[in-house]
Amino acid sequence: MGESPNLFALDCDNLATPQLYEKIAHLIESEDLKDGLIVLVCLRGGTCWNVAARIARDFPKVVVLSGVNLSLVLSFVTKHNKFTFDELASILLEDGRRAISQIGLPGNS
Amino acid sequence: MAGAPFLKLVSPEIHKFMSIEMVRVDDRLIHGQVVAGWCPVVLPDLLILCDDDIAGSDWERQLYKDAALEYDTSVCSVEKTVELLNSPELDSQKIFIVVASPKTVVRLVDLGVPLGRVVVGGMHFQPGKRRVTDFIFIDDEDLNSFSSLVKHGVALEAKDVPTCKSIDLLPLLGLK
Repeated sequence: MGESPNLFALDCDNLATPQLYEKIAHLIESEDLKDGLIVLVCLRGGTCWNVAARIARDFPKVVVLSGVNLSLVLSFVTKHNKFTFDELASILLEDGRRAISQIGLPGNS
Repeated sequence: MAGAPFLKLVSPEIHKFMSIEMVRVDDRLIHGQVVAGWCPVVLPDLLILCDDDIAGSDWERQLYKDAALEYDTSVCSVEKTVELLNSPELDSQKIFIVVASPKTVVRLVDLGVPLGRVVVGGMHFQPGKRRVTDFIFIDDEDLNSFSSLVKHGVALEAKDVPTCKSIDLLPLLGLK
């Protein structure tokens, strides 16, 4: 897909939660993210999610999506400049959910 | 140490009503390690986040209840936790208590909760704290709290996830 200038990866390993909060806050302030920030985290309820929720509470135009999968990330890369911020969050959520499926065993069509 | 029950059988009234399956010190309270790691092992009927500050904020309470996913969760002050533990509401229920620091455990014990064992799972580095294990950093206040718990006969072990080996904390704290 190539590089995506609107996609930032933050490593939260070994960071205390206040440091992680500051890292995201610094990103918001230094990159001038006035069009909005979508924070993608792996685990709902995890520490990254907890910190991201505080960022969403404290800064305008921040949304947190958890349970991120590859489909959701690819959707962001391909769709982020085609929709408004509000539309994009819902679309990514739906794309991520749609990507979770099962083949085989009873119950699968 | 590893075999000590979480709840000392000195209070038949409490024991009759419920079983404290796990008491955990973890400054991240309810998070991935607790929900995905410990809850599937402990299988609590009720997860209690015991913390005065968190219980005092609607926003924080809702956040931690969301973090607990499918597990029934109460977010309570220390006093409310003790009230809950003494009530028939918890009849036959398995309880998992999470606190942010050992000083909260001391308050529970001082208010009469007969705890036999505490698992320390996460006390992350902050300025002024010194390393005990890779996941436990303490200051003098923490040490005093642990010392107080030991005097009350509470066993202390360090264990971040269920598959890890338990570590006896007393020698690491200089309390043995």
